[in-house]
Amino acid sequence: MALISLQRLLIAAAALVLSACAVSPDGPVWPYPEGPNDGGWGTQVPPSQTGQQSVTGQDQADDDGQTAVSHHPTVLALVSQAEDEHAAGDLDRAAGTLERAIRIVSDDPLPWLRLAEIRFEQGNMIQSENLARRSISYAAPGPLTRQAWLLIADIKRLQGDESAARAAEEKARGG
Amino acid sequence: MSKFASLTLKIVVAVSCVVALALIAYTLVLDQQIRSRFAGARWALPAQIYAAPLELYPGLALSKYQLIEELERLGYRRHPRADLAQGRYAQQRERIDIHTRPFTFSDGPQPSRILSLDFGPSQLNSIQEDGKAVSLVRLDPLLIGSIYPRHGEDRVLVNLSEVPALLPHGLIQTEDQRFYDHFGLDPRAIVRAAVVNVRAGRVVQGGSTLTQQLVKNFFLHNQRDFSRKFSEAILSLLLEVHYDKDAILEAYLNEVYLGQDGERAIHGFGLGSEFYFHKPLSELGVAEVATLVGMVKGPSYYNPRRHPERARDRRNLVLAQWHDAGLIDEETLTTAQARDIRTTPQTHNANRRYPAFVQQVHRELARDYPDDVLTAEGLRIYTSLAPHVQAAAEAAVVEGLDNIEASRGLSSLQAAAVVASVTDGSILALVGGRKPGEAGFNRALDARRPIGSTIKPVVYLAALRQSERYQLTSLLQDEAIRLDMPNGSVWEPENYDKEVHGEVPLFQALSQSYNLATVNLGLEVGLPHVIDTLHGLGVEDTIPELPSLLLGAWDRSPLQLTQIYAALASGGYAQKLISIRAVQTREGQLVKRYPLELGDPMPGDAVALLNWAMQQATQNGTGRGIYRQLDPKLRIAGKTGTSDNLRDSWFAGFGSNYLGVVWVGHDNNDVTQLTGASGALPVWARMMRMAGLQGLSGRPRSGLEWVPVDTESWLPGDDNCRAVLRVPYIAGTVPDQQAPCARSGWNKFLDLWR
Repeated sequence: MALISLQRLLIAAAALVLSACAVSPDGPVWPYPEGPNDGGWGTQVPPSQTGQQSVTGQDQADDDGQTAVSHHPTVLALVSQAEDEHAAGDLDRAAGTLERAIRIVSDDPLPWLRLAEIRFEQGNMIQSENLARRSISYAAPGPLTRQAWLLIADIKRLQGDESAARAAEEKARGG
Repeated sequence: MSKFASLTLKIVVAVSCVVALALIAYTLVLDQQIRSRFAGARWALPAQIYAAPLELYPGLALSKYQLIEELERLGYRRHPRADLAQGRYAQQRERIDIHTRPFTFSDGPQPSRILSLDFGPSQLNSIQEDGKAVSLVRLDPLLIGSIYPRHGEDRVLVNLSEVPALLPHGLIQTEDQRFYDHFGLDPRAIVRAAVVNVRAGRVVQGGSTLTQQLVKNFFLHNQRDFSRKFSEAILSLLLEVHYDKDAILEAYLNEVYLGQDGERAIHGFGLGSEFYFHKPLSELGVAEVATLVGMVKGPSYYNPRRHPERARDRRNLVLAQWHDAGLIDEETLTTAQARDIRTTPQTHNANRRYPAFVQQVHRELARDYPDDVLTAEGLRIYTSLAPHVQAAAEAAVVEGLDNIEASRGLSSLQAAAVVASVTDGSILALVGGRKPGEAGFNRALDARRPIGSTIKPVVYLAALRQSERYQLTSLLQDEAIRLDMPNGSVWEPENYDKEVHGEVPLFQALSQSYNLATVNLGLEVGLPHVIDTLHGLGVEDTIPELPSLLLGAWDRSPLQLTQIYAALASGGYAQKLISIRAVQTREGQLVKRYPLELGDPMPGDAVALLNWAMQQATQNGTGRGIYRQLDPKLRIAGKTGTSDNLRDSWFAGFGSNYLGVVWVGHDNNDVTQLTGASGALPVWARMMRMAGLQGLSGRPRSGLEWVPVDTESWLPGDDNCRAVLRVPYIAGTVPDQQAPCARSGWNKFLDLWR
């Protein structure tokens, strides 16, 4: 048991470090090619089209050598608000804030992953895993999907499913 | 003193004592009654239901016209100086200024704010407050209903400190000028009223104080006669003994009866203001306050909707009294008296506007809360209703059915529609029939009809889950089938065009909705696997294990079908369709949050392949009619459905933000002559165009390989083939065999020997 909690701590620490780089002041850094934006009611228009919004970290290359993609500034603001609420110990409120971000821009993997991490902390492994998987479905392989796979590996290990944990770690390494 | 006199005296004393004791006892009973009624919650407060608030942020695809529409729905008034009062907005070319109302959301309060919004042609460019940029702000949500008991009272509670000062002062001036001086009864007023009434020969004036009126409303609903007058007097005195004037006045403001809305009794000025003028009490003008105060004398006689002339005369009399008493100046009097009686139409009333959605909310609440809690404790219910999507769905159903009937010579068609969020499966709009504002049979929830071909995607998903065995280009046999049923009958399905199409690729069998190929595939995959897939998509009830299930001989309500498509639209996550996001107490304490919850996912790659095939159905297949109304550049997945003999017409589909299901048919299950493509499809397309459907992302999904496929052999081909289609495969499942036309790889090698 002690071993598992140590492991969990280490992984949580690793996730924190990684998450710090994903929303570092230099901006988010992982790639996914953006699909055509179709416009319509209640949706965001990518910064390149608005000519108004510019997001830090555009065109910055990540360690896979691909171009990085921007988040909507409103999503970033809510993710950082959720981090403050998390730091203050109010996990429910932080989760509510992340859900708000998800409803504003549904296909940004970042708030999905953050929500998965909060559910993990709350001990809700099933939701945590499903949220992490959905986060992965919105992102091309990169630091964010690695974090999500590591989280899933962690969950699997806690559930005593060592082979699934290894498979998830394999995915995290890009396998 | 004679014995007789002494006896009489004794009797008189005894009787007096008994009477006095009885009186004291009675008073004590009433006292107990008054204290228990006045302590704590004084009213059974109906739960209040709110729509989702509009989130405003730079980059939002929202035109200024759409914002104005939303503001009008919320009862904001257009005024050149929006900054001066909350609940106003002003438009100047591409800029809209809003003075928002304060609101306590489920995650905390947002104060009133003065915002300046700049618009581009179809989007919100920036939001400013005091010259500073704002990244995100919410409008107050639309109140869409309340849950009050049958034949019950509805009210919106107000505090004395929050109401416009003119209301209490004006009310006292008009109804009970010595309110602050008397002790519950006003003998002078009683005498005066008596004189006036005797002279007139009928009751023209009441001598009741506000306290007496409150007591009458509060305690004495059903009593008539003298004993009531007597109890009323005692209760009034007791009320004044126990409570101060302001508490009594505040209770009066919330209790007074101001009219009837069907079975719903309108109580209090808070609700009266919403009911007659569609805005909060704090935003009423002088003329409107005077109209409501005037109504106290006779709510139905002076009803401003039914008797505008009478209401106007009464209002002007009230205004004149106020002027005489110095409450308003000459100028205010003149302007207010010159105003028309302007009420909002009763249909504006949100309680009537969204009966179908509110019914769903009520059903969900009933699982967690007993009815007496919902009708009594003033809970605040925050829902997912998106008013602009609801407006689109209602208009599409009404106009769409009119069009179909006119162009095809049909009549008495009915329809239902559901729109949900792809993100979290929350219900954004619900239309239960052709007259969306009328409560009645809610077809979206309660009409269960065979879903026809809209079930087919599930059959194909069951196959695609076996990725080694089935790919999108696997060839299926569209051949005649005869099945002997357990009951001795023979099942012989046919294609819609009565033809057989021989070998067809899997994706085309779906996009062209071939029945025979589908049944052959379903039987090959196995009914248990199809049923298992349905359960994986979130279906919880038992499903009949019959081959006719493969063609949708299975009764579902539009909402139940939406649930299945919600799982497909989200990429394979079963989602409970819910309409409630949070519940708060009246004081703003969170009672319960309904968090986003995902079911265990179906294999995402297989769902992605299926969704590609459903896009083929709208691009080249049975669903292509949607592009008569929608931008052809949008990628949309969709499927038509028609039940036996053209009785039920269905369309189900989704983009990246919304998914929707539309049903068209007859209530008596008569033949409609409509297929899914000619009935439900145009309604669906109209609805999604107006709601602002976004296309699916064209972003390639990792784990899929895109391969050019020869459209004759349906094998991997290349530039040398006459026509190729790029088809996605799950990595590692691309067929090894190449098309005969391909001039690469093995074929090229073979060429050397030819």
